[in-house]
Amino acid sequence: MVAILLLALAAGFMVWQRVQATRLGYAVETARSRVRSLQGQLMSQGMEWEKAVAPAQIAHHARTRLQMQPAAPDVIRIPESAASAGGSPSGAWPLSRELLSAVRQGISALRRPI
Amino acid sequence: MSLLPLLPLSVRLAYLQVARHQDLLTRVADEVDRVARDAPKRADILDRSGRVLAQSVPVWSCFIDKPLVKAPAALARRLGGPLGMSPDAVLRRLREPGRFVVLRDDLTFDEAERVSASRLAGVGITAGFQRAYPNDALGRSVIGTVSSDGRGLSGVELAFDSALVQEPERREVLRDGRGRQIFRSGTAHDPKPEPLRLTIDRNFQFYAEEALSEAAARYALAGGLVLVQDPSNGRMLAMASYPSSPLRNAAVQDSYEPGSTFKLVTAAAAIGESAIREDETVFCENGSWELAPGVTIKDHEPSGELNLAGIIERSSNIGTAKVAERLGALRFYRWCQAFGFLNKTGIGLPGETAGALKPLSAMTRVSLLAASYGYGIAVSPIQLIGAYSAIANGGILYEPSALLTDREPVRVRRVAPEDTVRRLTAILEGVVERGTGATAKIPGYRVAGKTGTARKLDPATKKYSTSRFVASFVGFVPADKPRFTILVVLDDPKGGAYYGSQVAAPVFAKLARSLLTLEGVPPDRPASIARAQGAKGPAVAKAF
Repeated sequence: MVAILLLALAAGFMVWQRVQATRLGYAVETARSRVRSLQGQLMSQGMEWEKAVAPAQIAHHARTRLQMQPAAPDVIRIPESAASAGGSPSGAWPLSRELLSAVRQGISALRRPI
Repeated sequence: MSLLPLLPLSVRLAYLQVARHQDLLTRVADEVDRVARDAPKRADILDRSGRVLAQSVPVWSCFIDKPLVKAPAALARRLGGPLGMSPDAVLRRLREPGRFVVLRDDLTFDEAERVSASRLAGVGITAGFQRAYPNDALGRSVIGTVSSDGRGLSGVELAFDSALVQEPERREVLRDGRGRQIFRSGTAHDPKPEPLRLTIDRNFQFYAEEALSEAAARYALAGGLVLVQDPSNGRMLAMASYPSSPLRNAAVQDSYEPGSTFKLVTAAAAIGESAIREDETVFCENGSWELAPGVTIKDHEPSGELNLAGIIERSSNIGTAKVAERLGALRFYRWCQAFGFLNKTGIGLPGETAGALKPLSAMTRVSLLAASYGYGIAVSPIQLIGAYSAIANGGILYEPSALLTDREPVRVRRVAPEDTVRRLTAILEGVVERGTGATAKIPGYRVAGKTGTARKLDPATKKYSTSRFVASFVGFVPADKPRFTILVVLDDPKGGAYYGSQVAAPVFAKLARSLLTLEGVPPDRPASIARAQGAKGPAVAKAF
């Protein structure tokens, strides 16, 4: 009687284990499917972001909303000393480059995948 | 005895487990084992700074398995909303022949989620990929396009198709009667395949296209193109063409008669072969020279004695032809080849043309002299900008490239000795300072370049038109340490102005100014700006 009971318990455990494995298999596949969907969503949103930062969009907004104008050479101010020396206006340009570099780093940080 | 009733059951079990084991396994496998293949992805195409030019984005399709639909009218009512379709439209699609009907194949993630959440019998969602270009038409003549099944049709998409396309992901799954799956095994892929990086700069491309479209609107152009190249390595930074088409890249596929911009080759050959001394002059026939009966070379303005610099600065066809006559066909031909004309450049984009020039054996005096100032010869824009870049680069011709790789730029050859290049650069600077290219001047920067105005050949009459022209300007800036070589070609400008100096050189100047500002290139002649400011008073900084 005890043997039959043990046998029944073992059989029951095996069935339970099988059911749990199947249930987990479904859960894992559902999760994988969800991951694929979310990856897809991330890619779609990445595309929206790229569209938003397209040069044409930025130029349009800069001109219409912020009233910006492209810089022209006559707005570049050259320090008197550099101009009279006829040399390169050292100091002004490295600063511009540092600013540009900082802006680029900021943009790169924004573009990193989350 | 009590276990005797179980005997038939045991026999049956033994029969199924032993005798029919393999057969039943096969049947089960047929029922539940499935191989799922995800839609193939294409790699992203990025610009030189890693900004996206082309990307495969997921799209979802909604389909109906018609035999599983019990109440079509109710289904149409419930499905119409999430799909953005009217119930009548859904019903019409349901009446179409065939078991499966695809209602929409461009669902967004949210729309697909809403349809999935409605859990309607017979309605399914499948995922796929669609090629998307976030900058719309920007750079499309270079990037190209793909077919509906995701294979490259033109441009970079075609040239590097095998590198861009990824094998579809294959997964073995168990599938039950309700369609639920259990993953068994599969080939794992990187969700984002390795992107392809181009030498094109998205911002440069934008400025080039903007400058070209403004010129197209102003002069009602039949066509045009603007190329920007880094002369130090041959990398193409922008390739804009008008009208823009993803199926055609005029910069590599088209050839044209370059007109006076080709005088660079004649001048280089003359200096390199010592065909004319620096101080030696040539009589330019006061603007008209009859070569043979019925063949007359004319200048746009009459000139007398000119040295080589004067000939190029004033763009004298007669002077150039006389210099070419001293060179002879063989030496002229050799210099054309040295500059990369008559051969494909090897840029690796589809449909590249090699240009055309009469074979040396067939070259007559007239054809040689005409070719010396850019007539009777066809060059591709990519060849011409490469030739000027070689001068900008101290005489080294690089293979133009559109694909950014780790390998060193391909150095083709030295086209001219350094002293020849120095003289040529000075002559090209003179063109902008004192000659026909004055409208290409940029305050604060030394510019070297050459204008070109070529009459178009009328295909009907086989004669050169007197009213249709190709205007061009090609040059590099700053002249002493060039950062960019820019070629502007405007086809058939209308409205009275048609000279390269009138229509193409200002486009060059505008674009070069934008690029110099964008890259923060310091002026190499700041005193000229200071003088300009002194004349105008203090500049007021505008917002930018």
